Amino acid sequence: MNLVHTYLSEMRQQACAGWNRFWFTPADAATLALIRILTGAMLLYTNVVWMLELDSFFGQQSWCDRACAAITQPDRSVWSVHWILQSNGALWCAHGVVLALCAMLMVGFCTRTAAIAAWLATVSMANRVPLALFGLDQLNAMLAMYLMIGPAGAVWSIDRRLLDRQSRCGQGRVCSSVSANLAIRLIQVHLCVLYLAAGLSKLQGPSWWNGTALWQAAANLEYQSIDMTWLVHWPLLVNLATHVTVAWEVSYCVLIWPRLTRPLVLVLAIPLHLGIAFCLGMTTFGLIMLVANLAFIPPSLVRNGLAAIAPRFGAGGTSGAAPIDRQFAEPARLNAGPVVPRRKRAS
Amino acid sequence: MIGPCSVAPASALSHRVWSVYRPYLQAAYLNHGYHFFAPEPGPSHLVRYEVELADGSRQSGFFPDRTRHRPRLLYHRYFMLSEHLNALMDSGAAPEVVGAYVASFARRILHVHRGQRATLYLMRHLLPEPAAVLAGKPLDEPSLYRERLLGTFDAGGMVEQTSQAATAAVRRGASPERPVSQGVQ
Repeated sequence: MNLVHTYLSEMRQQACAGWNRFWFTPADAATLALIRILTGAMLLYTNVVWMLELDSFFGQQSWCDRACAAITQPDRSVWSVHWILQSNGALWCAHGVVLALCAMLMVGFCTRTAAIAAWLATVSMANRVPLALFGLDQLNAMLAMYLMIGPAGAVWSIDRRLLDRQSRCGQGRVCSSVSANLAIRLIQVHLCVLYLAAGLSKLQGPSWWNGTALWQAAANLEYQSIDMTWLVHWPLLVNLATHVTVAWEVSYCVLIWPRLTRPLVLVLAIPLHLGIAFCLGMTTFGLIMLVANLAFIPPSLVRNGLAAIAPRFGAGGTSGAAPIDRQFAEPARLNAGPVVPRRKRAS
Repeated sequence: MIGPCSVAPASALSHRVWSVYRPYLQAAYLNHGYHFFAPEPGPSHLVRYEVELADGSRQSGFFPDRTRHRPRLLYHRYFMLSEHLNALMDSGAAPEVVGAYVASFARRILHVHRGQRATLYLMRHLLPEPAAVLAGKPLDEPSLYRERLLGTFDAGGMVEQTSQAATAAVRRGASPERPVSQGVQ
């Protein structure tokens, strides 16, 4: 009996410690900031494209008008501010504000406010035109939601510059916080659920088992942006690609966590999503999936990578001993791992 | 996990849990199944329409149309309109819901073309077998298209030939789906 009690007690302690370490260890906000820039850019592009036919999708005489919504969307939890916008003028003004908010999120100006407003706008627009949506909108809303939680404007942002000007400290400082980690963890877990659902749902279809599913995608003229019918000469390649797609999606939620397999899983994500982007005509969806996958790139790698591309981003302060920026830092919680002591910047 | 688990086929337990969280999931736009290209990639769908104008002349069109709907993201928005309409009809959604969307599409088409009457069809673009493509059959071969009548609507939005009737006919197995003499591409 004692043995069982000790086992359960130890399990509880370790589970609690692991839970706290996973969610509440302070983390550098560099990865979150990179996701903010790219998600902001995608939201901006998405809304620029909506703008091309704003009246068609959001106007009084849209594809889904008020009379249609009264029957198709009786649920009040499917809210949308866009139903209040009666005139074209109001619609265009509101859309101008949405564009500005997306741009603010991208450049990191009043980042937290911009993230909240951009998420609200994204959900409002999604609920207004449910029939015109696809995976891009789901990912846009998901990323915008998690960007609200973390200090997405802690680095590489106008907010950062303004703060630096006030405090006279440089861009190279590490901005570690619990909420940065929390936001990244939420994106990671959400992606695991997403890929698992995507993979398991494919297992219901015979073509994903007999290896012809990717042929169906390649031979679909409406999706196609590049002629992929040459694949007809390579049936075994089609089989292989189909099986790898399912295996990759189903195993993602397991293999993405060990350090040994994580690079392999992320490298495989690139051809899969670029294939969707450039062969199936869903460039935006393929790219936003890759943006979401950035959540698994360590902040130090993000800093070094960006420093290599654009030196002004700076890779300074990437080590664990770098100072925590108190403006963005939050108090460490119980079992949240070691908190690095603040020390003077190297001159 | 609750959203994906609630998509059919789902257990009663999944549905119970989902119904508790539904307001939150829907309000936060998290109510997704993430069933991308599942269970099968399958054929694609388009909406074709014929509009009768006041002077008696006729105009026709379809969406999505890659020659008119650019950039690609806009094309995809139109593509999703026709795909979701088909998904609704296939999933056994209430005929009133399907009918409401079709009527709304018709009102939009009549508004854009300033037409008197509009007749809408849902086109299914079947996928060719690999052997047919090897034999030289193009992807837009007219024999690969099927269509079913969705309804005829007048300028006032009054339904003359309801989409409910077409949907019900499909459910009875008496599908009015027929080959199309010409493709759309």
